[in-house]
Amino acid sequence: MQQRSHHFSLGRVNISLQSDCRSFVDEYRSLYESYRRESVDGEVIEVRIEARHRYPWRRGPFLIHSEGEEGFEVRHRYEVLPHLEWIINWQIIKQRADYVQLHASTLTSPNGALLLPGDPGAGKTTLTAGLLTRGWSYLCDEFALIHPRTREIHPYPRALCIKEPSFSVIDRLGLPLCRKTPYHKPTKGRVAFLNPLDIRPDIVGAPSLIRWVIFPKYVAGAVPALEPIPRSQAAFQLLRQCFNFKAYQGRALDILTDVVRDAECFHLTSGEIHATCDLIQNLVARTRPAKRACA
Amino acid sequence: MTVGTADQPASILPTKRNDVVFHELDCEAVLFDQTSGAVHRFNETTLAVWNACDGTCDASAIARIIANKYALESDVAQTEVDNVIRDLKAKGLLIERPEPTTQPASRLPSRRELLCGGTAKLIYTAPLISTFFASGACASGPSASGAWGAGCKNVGYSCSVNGDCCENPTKTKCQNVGPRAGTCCIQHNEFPCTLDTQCCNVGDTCNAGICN
Repeated sequence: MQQRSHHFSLGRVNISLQSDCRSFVDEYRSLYESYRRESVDGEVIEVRIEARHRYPWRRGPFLIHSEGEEGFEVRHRYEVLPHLEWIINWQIIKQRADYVQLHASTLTSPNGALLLPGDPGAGKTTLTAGLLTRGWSYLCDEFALIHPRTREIHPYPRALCIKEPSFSVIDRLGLPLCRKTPYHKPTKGRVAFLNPLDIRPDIVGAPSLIRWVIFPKYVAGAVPALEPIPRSQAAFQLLRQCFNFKAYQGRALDILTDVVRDAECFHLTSGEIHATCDLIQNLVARTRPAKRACA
Repeated sequence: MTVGTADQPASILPTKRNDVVFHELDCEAVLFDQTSGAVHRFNETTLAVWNACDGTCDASAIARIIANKYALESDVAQTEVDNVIRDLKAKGLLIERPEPTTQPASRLPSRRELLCGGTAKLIYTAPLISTFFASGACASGPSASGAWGAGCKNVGYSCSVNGDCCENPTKTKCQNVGPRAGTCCIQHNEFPCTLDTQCCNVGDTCNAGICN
């Protein structure tokens, strides 16, 4: 029997999900019901979830794969959703060469977009959650999708994936984090998902030009601090975070130098969440300094 | 002063390559060398030396430019310039041209050389070149899927150096010993794997996407 496809359109990313286990579809729908569509056009990421063995007394292992390629085999059902998100990320990187892709969280305000690039563990997602409570609009917590012609960041409003050490921070922010299901993700341990639409129904932002590039690094107990960095350093570091640099090569440098040329660039030492968000809010409230002229 | 030999001209004219993607940002620069896959960042001092490497100034003339620009002692400027030129050459960013033999190795700087790179005095910082290598540009295997980036090699495909293997964010490397020597594989405690044979360490197994 042919399985039904469930279609979703998250910003510029279209997803078609099939599974012989209804519960997994329901889990995904619980996060992305607002993005469900009868059909989707254009580029579509097709993913499947299959139960490899069916026994009444035991579920799993489960195979999550896409486009007929090798995927992940996981033993436990609470590993499925994180790996499903992972497979989708993988396919975005492979299929969406129409964007320059950076490993970064992205938010927007009426004055422009904020780019938070960084390696895993830098604190991007937790900081993003904090800023969303301060009125920022949401684009994505994993990807910066930069349009190569307009230089705008486009949204892919996936659910924020919060690691267990940050659960208490999300609680202090008063955000609705669903922890009933003990999801597990490789190297990150236990995770939970935060649906940004549960914060505000109109929270997803529109494509925007980047005004601030801030490289966060969380240090427990630190006093939050912003350090201006040269734009050349910002461009250099952004290239290191570029998922599809090889597809763009020299053009990636062209595009990212354009991005930083019009932005203020900083290193951020993140500490307590409210103090860190205050620091960023104060930054964006200030006027942008004039560019230094070369001698 | 550089002493010449029969094989090495007394003075050479460092010339920057013009086939790199180059962007100047606030008196610093970022370059991409498509040949090597390297991305370089120059601070202001290094950029000043780079700009002076236009094929008309020898190292001594460039040092005079830097000394004048930053109010440095001539021997300090010469040492710094020699180091930068050596570094740029090592990174394959310079072409060297012998100075025409009709000109003496040691001569007074021409007006053009003095004007080469400007004359304003600035705050001096030690030269800096930062470099990282994007994954090597090489053909992928039978499957077109290069994991995280087009052109890099996926797990299981042959490689020569770590730069051949997809590195972002899949932490693969080119194994050089053992049964998986010469193939891209996933390091211990890294992800994502789907088979035990994708792990670099022979004793590792693939558990929920991690080699451990």
